[in-house]
Order: sequence, then structure tokens, then C-alpha cells
Amino acid sequence: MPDGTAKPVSLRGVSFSYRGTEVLRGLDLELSEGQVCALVGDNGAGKSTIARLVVGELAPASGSVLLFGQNAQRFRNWALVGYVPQLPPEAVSRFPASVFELVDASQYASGRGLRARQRRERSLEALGRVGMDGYGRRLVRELSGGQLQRVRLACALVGDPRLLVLDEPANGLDKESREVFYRLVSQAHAERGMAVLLVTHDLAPLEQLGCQVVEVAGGLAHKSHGAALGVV
Amino acid sequence: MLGYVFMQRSLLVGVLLGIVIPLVGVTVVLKRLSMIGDALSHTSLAGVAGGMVAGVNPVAGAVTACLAGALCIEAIRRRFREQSELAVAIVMATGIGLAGVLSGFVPNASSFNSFMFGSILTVSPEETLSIVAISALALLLCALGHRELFLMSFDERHARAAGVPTDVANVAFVVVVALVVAVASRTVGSLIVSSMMVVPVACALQLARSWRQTCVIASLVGVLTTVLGLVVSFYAGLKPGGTIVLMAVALLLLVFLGKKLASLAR
Repeated sequence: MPDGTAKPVSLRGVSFSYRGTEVLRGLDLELSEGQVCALVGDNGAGKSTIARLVVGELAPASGSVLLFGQNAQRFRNWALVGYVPQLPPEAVSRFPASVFELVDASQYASGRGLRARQRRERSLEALGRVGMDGYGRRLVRELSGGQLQRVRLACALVGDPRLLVLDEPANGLDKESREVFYRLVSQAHAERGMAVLLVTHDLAPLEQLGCQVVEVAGGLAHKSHGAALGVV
Repeated sequence: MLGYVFMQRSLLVGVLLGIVIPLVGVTVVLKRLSMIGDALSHTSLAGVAGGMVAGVNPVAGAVTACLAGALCIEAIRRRFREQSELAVAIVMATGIGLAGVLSGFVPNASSFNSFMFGSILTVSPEETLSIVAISALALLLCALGHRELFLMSFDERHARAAGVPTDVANVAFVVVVALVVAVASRTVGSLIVSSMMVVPVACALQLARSWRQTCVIASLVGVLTTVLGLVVSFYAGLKPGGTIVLMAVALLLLVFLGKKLASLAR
């Protein structure tokens, strides 16, 4: 069981290689309750790899990755985590689901034991929080890029998680949509106080979010301005 | 037509497969594994030929080969996560190769051919029972696991993060697909079953406004075209398997045409 007092994210001495190329070596990183941390760096620096290690999608070659004190690979309490991974465009282009169906199904772990009516209320509330009320019956594939990312944020927030992991969530969005998206993240953090791990190569939202910045380069995490984590 | 017991049985089997094949087809198509039906049906042919050569029940051979093929697809898919369609192509190539080689040793070639294009009109009571059982199993899985199938069809990473045990769910799903393909290859034919898995779903994707509607419309199209195909083949003296698929393709073309006309009228 996850330790209720453990930090949401703790990486110690983590190394990872992709097809023989070392991406991370001996990386240490911790994220406490309520902290907002942005991982920045060049393409291929390993930012998304860190996010994928955190949610247990990838296993480290060495070192430990703990999610709420539990090995991320064996972590099961997904109600504690909201995750917006990068999404291939073809996943959406012909997917025949309504917005409401997607948010409802995303309560797979967090909505366990709830009645359909209760899940529905939570879905509507989550859509309202991201300004997408009234879009429930719309097909996911009919949304604009900005609207889709707001719906995906609603999917991640609907279970009221204690950790939100966002992997390049504003990729491909115009300036206005990016600002709206990050404002919603900022609001959600202010209201609920969850820890946020943001992977981005876009530096513009960092001030808006008031987050601590960790630059990933050379397989390591380096402190940047305001960073309280990123132990190297 | 309904006075014949063999037609009553064919219709029962046809309706069941018309519901179940497109229903599992929704997830197959949306997971971009449309070729999985082809791969498993060719693998089932290898199993049929192997069963005939070894002197065991060819349907048992088809089921065994399909299950082995399905598990291989899942194992290769995990090895090459970035190129999941590669797994299907490898198993299909192996299935075609094995079916081709083993068919040379089959003592009764006409019996083997019946598995290629199916023989829904000659389904025995025992085969009907096995189809009812496997259809019930597939329906149960789709009903109980609809949220898992929905999330995995959208994106496996999203599904995993939502808490779906994707590894277990994927194996369970391909096993059910394999069982459905194996029993359907005897009735509608190995070379036709993958069309029944894809074409009704293509129709549904044109019309549906939700995942639930997609599943319902795909199954309705499956049942409608199967029944129509059986009736037409009975009166016109055509082979039922091929007629069923042609009905589905004709309906898909009608849907395309209807949508085009509707958009012009707007």
C-alpha cells in the first residue's frame, strides 16, 4: 500500500538507456506534497522519460523510482495520480467516443464503488472546472486541440488526485490555448493543492505556474531558478 | 426457408456471430489492429490443416492454433511496443506459410476448402453449442470489461494511468478474439471472418455519436447483413459466407453515399 506520508515522487540514482543510448544516469529527484515542478530541457534530454518512469511505464536500469513510497512499477493506487501523457494524433482522429464517455471512463480507479449517477456528477463537475461544460455529448474527435487538452485535463483531475503528471500538454497548441490550459492547471493546483510534475520545453508558462524549474541535461537534473528539488 | 432445421441453425449461428464478431471488432479496429482478424484466421487455417494431418478434430486444431497465434501476437507486441502492427504481420506470415505447407498433406482437400470459405449451412448441433458458448463468453467479456476495452482503445497509456491492468486485459482480449475467429472460421470461413470484424465497424464509425452507439450499430449491421446474406444465398443459390460479406460492403457503400448526399443537401 502507498505510504500516506511518503513524497509523491522520489527518484534515487536512476539510470535509463534507450536502445543502448544512455538517457539518464544517476538522477535524483523528489517532489513533495503540493509542490509544482517543471522539467525543462532540449528535445531528447530525457524529460518525458522521467515522467514515464514516475508513472511506471518504464523501468529504470538502476536506482529506485517511488510513487507515494511504493515502487512505481508495482504501484496500483492510481486514484492518487492524474496523468496526461502525450497522445498520438491517430488515437483521437477516429475514436468514436463522446467527451462525457471519456471523462466517465477515466474514473476507472478513482470511481470504484461509485454509482453511475455519482460518476456522472463528478464528470460534469470536472468538465465545468476546465470550462468544457456543455461539451459532454460532443465527439472527442470533433474538438479543437485546445479543447481536447482541456478534456484530458478534466480526465486527469476528475478523481481529485494528489499528483498530476503532465507530459508536454501544450504541444501543438496556439498561444491563447496554451495560456488557458496553464491557467486551468494553476487554478486546479490552487484549489486542491496537489503536487504537479510538468514536462515542457515551453518556458512561457513557468512564471504563470509559479513553479520550481529543473533542467534536464546530460542525463542529470540540474537546479534552475527557484528550484527546491533536482538533487544532482 | 425456416422450415428447414439446417436453416434455423444457420440463422441462430449467424445472428450470434453477427453480434459478437463486430463487437470484438470495435476494439480491434480502434486499437489499429484490423489485420489481427486476418492473421488469426490464417493461423486457424494452419490449425485446421494440422488437425486434419494429425487426425484430430480440425476445429480443435483451429482453436489451438488461434490461441497460440494470439499469445504470440501479444508477446511480440510487448517486445516491439512502438510497432505493434509488426506482431500481427509476423503471425500472419507464419500462419499463411504453415497453412500452405500443411495443406499439401491434408488427405481430404474439399473438407479443408470448406474452412476457407465456411459452411454455415452444415453446422452440426455440437458446433452450434460451441458457438453459443463462445459467443456468450465474448459477450460477457465485452459487457464486464467495456470500460477497460474503451480506455485501451483510446490509448493504452491513458488506460494504464486510469488504473486498467492493461497487460492482463490485452491477453484476455486477444484470447477471446482467437476463440471467436476459430469458431467463426468453420462457419463463415477463415478468409471471410476478418471482413465481418471490420466492415460493420466501418459502417458504425460513420454513424455513431458515442462509443456505446458504435458497439450497438456495429452489431446491428452484423446481424442485418448476416441474415440478409443467408436469405439471399438460400434463394439465389450462392455461397453464404461470401454473400454475407458482400451485403456488409454494399451497406457500407450505401452509408457512404447517404452521408455524401446528406452533406450536399445541407
